Amino acid sequence: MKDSSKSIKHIEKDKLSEFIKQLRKDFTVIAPRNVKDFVLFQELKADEEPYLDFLNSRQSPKEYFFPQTENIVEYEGVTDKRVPIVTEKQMRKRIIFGMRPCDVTSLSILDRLFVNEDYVDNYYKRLRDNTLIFGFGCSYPRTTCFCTSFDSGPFSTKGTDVFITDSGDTFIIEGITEQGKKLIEKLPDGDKKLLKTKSEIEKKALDSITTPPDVEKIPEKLKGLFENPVWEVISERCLGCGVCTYLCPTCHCFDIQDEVIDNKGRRVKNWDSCMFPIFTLHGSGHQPREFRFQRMRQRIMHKFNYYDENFDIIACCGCGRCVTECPVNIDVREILRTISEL
Amino acid sequence: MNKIEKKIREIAGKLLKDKKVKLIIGFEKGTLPLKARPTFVRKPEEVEKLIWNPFCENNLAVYIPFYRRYLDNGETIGVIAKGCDARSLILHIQENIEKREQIFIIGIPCEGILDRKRIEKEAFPGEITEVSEKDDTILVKGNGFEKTLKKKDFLCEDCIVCSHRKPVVYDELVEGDVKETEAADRQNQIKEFESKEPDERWKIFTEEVSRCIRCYACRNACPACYCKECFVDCSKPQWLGTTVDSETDLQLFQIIRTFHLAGRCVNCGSCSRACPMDINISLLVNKLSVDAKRLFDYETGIDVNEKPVLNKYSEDDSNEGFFEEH
Amino acid sequence: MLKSYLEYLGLEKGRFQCAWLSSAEAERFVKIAKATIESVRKLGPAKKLVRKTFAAENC
Repeated sequence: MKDSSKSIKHIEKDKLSEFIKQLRKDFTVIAPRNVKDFVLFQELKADEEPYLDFLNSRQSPKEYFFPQTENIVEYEGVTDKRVPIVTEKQMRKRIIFGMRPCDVTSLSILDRLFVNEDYVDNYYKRLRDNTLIFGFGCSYPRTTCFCTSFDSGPFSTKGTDVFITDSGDTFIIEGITEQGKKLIEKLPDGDKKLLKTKSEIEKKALDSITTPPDVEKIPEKLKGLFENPVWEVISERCLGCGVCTYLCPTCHCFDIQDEVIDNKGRRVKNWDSCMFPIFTLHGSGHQPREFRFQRMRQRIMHKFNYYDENFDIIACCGCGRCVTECPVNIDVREILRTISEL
Repeated sequence: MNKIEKKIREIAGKLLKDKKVKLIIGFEKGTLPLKARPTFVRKPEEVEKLIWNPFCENNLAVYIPFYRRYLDNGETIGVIAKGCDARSLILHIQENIEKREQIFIIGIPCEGILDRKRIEKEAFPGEITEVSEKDDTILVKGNGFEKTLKKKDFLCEDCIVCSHRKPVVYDELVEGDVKETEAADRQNQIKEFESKEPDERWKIFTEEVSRCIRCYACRNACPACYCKECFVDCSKPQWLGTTVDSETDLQLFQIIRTFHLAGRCVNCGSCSRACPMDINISLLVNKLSVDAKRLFDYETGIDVNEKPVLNKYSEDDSNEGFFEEH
Repeated sequence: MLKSYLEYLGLEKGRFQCAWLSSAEAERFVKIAKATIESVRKLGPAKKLVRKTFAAENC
C-alpha cells in the first residue's frame, strides 16, 4: 500500500551524482551549469554534477521546448520539384533538472497557446511530452522576483513531476506525478519532519518577496489605455534590443525563413522579438509600428491584456529576468505600478 | 548628493529655464542597486532627479538619433556627457547626424565606470542588494555578506585604458580633479590575446560568440550603430542567416558589426555591458582602435572638423595589409 | 585594417588578401592572382568561416 506521504524522499547531497547517473541511463539530463559565473541550462556532460548553488539561470530553459532555431522541414530538389526529406528521429526522453517554479509556470502559460483545442503545435508538443520536469524550490528569491503576483510561488509544485527542496545537507525530494514517483522510488524514504523543514524554508522565501506588484486588475485596466500618452514615457529610454523578449520564459513570437544550399534546403523557425522594428515591417515598406512606444505598448499589452483575453492567463511569471538584464534598467514591475495608478 | 550632481542640476536647471535646450539627457537612480539609468528631463523642476555616480554606464549619445524630430526643428538637446559620450557625439557631428550647435555638451570629468558584471560576480551565486560609495571604495551588501571593494579594482576594462576621461569638447564642464590615466595604452588590453596562436585565438573568439542569442543589445546600445537598416535585418539581399545554430553566422555577425566600427568606436564599452550573455565584445573592438592609432595615428571623436579615419585618403596612408611585390 | 583584424581573430595568414590594382595592370593582376592561389593552396581547405548548414536563399 502506498499513500501519498510515501512519495517524500530525501537524498544526501553527496549521493546526488549517483542519482543523476542513474537518471542518465534512460534520460538526457538538462541541468544548470556554471558558464563563466552565470548559470545556463545545458545538457550535462558525463559524470558532471548539476550546478545547484544558483538563484536562477540567466536564460530560461524555454529553449528546450521552443528552440531559438528549429527546422520545420528539410527538402531536396530544385525549384518546382522539391521533395521533403523525412527522417523520423527517435527522441530520447529528457529531464530538466532543477527548474525554478517560475519557469515551470511559464510552461503552463505557453501550453495554452501551443497546445489547445483549436490548434496543436506538434513541434512544441513533441518536446513537451518527452520531457519530465524536476522542479527546484527557490530558497532565496531575488529582489527582482515577483512570482507571487501570479498563480505561482517559490515552492509551487504545479507542473512538476518531481520537486526538490534544498534543506542544507540534504535534498528533500517529492514525487508529484505518477511518472515522477516512479523515478524516485529507490531513494530513501523521508519522514514527516522533512515537510515541516520545507514549509519553514518556504515561509522564509515567501517573506523575502516583499513588494510584488498587484496584477489582478491590470488586464482590465489596459483595455482603455491604448491611446494613452504613458507609453511614450515608459518607452523613452528603451534601446529597442531583444534582451527582455529573448530572456523571457513566456515570449513566444517567431519568424520563418527558408535557407537553401545547392539542391538542399530547409524551412526554419527562429525566435523573433516585437521590440525589433523589422518584426512588423511589411513587404510594401509600410511600418505599422514605427515608434518605440508602439513596440513597448505591444509587449506589455500582449503579455497583460491580449494573452489574458485569449487564454485567460497573464503571460508573465515574475522571474524578473527582463528587470535584471535590461541594459537601461526598464523595470516591468514599475510599469505595472504606473499602469495601475493611472 | 555629491559635488558633481549639484553642479549638473544647477547647469541643467538654468539651461531649461532659459529655454536654451528642449531636452536634457542624463542619468537617474535605477531600480537595481548597481544601476543608474538614462533619464530625460524637459522641465526645470525635474532636474532634481539627475544623478551622477560610477554606475552611469550607458553611452547617452545613443539616444540622439531617436530625436530626429527635435533636430529637424532646429531644437537643441543637452547631454550629460562622460569623456566617451562626448567623443561619440563628435563622431555623430562628423557624420552629419547632428550639428554641433544643436548639442549642448555638459561635460563630466569621469573617473571611470565600475563594471557591474564583475561586481555582481563577487557575490556569485548570491545577489547584491545594497551598495554605497565611500571615497575610493564601495561597500556592497547582500544576503548574509558584506564586502568592501576598491573602485580601482573594478573599473571597466575599457575605462582602465581610457585616454580621454575629461570630455575633449564641451559647452560647459563640471569642474573636477580627474587625472588622465598615465600610460593609457589600449594595446595592453589585447596583448595577452594577441600573443596566443591563431588557432587558439579563433577558438576563444568562437567560444565567446557562440553564446550570442542575437538579441542585438550590443548594436542597440552602441552610439555608432545608428544605421536605419542594419545589415543583419536586410532581407533583399539577405547578407546573413538568422539562425543561431550556425556558428559562422554568429561569427560573421560579430565580425561585420564590429568592423563597421573601425575608426568609429570610442571604446566606451557599452556593448559589452549590454550583452546579456557576457560576451567580451571589447576584446574585438579594442583591436580596431589599436590599429587606427597604429596605422593612421587616429583617435575617434576628438576634433569636430575632422573626418572619420576611413572616410579620408592621403597619399602617405599606410599600405599595411596590401599585396606587396617581393 | 580588415586583414589585420581577421588575422587577429585567428584567421590564417594568407587566407585573406587585398591589393591596390588598376584595370590597366593586367600583368600585375595575374601575378597577384597566382600568388594568392599559391598561398591559399598551401593553407589547404578553409575550415574557418565556412557555413556548415545552409546559405540564405534569396541572396
